[in-house]
Amino acid sequence: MYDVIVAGAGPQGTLASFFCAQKGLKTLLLERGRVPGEKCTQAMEIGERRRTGEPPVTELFNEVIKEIPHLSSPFSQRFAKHYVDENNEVIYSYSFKVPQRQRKLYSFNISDLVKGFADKAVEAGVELRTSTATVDLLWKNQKVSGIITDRGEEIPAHITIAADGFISTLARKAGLVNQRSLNEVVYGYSETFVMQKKEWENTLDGTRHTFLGPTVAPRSSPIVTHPSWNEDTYYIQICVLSLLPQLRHNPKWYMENLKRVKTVKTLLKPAQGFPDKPLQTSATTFTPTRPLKKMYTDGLLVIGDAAGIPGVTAPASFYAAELTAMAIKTGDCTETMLKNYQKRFEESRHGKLIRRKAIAGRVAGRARMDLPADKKVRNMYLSGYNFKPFIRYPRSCEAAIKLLSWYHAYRPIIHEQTSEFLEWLKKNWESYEKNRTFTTEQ
Amino acid sequence: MAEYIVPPDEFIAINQEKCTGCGRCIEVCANRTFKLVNDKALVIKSEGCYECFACSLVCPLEAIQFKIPKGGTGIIYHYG
Repeated sequence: MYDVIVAGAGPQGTLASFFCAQKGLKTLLLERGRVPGEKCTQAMEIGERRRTGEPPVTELFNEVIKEIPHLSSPFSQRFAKHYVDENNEVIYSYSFKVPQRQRKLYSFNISDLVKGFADKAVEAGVELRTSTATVDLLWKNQKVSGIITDRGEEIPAHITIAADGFISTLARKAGLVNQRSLNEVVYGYSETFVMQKKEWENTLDGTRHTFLGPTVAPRSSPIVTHPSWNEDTYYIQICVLSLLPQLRHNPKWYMENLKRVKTVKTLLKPAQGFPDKPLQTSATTFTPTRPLKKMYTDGLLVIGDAAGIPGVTAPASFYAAELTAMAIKTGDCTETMLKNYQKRFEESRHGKLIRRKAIAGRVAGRARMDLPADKKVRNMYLSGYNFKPFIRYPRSCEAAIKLLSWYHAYRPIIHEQTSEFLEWLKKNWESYEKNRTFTTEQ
Repeated sequence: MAEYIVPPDEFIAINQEKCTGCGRCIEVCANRTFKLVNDKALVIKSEGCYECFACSLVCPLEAIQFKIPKGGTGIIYHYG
């Protein structure tokens, strides 16, 4: 009998299994793909200061990232934002440079990272079983006592850790997932192209472009660069991000419009297969700021996207592993013991950050009021959480960054008045350039 | 446009009694899995499904039941 079963070899599942095995537990890691990381859709950027994780998580991350292709420098030196009108024409753009010494951002493919984590986990003594989906929980005396696979096999364990992604069969079967508010679900559709490094240097060259506008993205459309195992090429991913209720057309419609924007055409012209034959298309849903109300039950812990705690190095996996070890040591796998996991998470830096964001999302409703644009922005200011970018920006552009970040965050709410807002921004931008302050803020 | 292994069983089921034909699933699906036939949504092509689960989330009547494809099948992302 296993001490612990981890369902799902994503970033946090592999991490949790690694830490369990490290603590000497007999651990089984289950993955429905043929190899770990096969079902991971997103490529990812991580700022160094974002790694709010516990030291062991950060250490492992540092160790793994050495061995996989990743980009740090000279990546994301510049950020560019383009506002696009109804005719797919860029009406307003701005960009800013992040000072070299203040920036450290990593970019990599999550599947590569997960494979690295999984290798470390197997080394530490985890038993990995792939091509195995978990379809149900095994119950004994109204306590979770293991899982049932898609082949009908029953595998008992003292503790089950559910890390089976946003749709989480296990968390649903345990009755932990309530009706999810769609306003908190982010939908992402993306297409990946390959570009030669030389050509990349002439076009994108470390700038992160984001497109905003009613026809190209309900929320935002970034173009992101990721490394490949071949040193001469990069993967370019264009994404359409949206909150689920804001998706008024098919994601492909937005993507087609985005590809019609002149700036996008120029930037991606050298990419192989652009615009019609992407190397890969992918779609995903996740919830960035709404952890489950209850992330545990007798014999079960929920981590990762399943628990509403996304993030490749989120420390929840470490807390879950620590608590599992303690529970098995004491022989007490009941709720009373396991609730300490949630407590620990909520008290952690990451937990507090997520909570702050969740509150901000709720109070953002204030910005919904029927007001002229400048008042609306003021409301956004009042209701916004204290935005702290993970990169230190020069003081001179701090106010602009803050405002635009808020605009970015609450964009779906003021979507209908986009042009109104843009006019306001344009008008005030001049005064900002002159006096380094927005007029409405005086 | 990604590698795909066809699962042995159909993994998306629509409860025809619950479905009102609102078309929301058709709107959000990037794979164009669904089609309206006689004011009811039908699964016409689950092959290529991105497994994003958006269809089951947006369905106001929870008529779409999304089971996870059998282990080792379904979409494969190489550049995730």
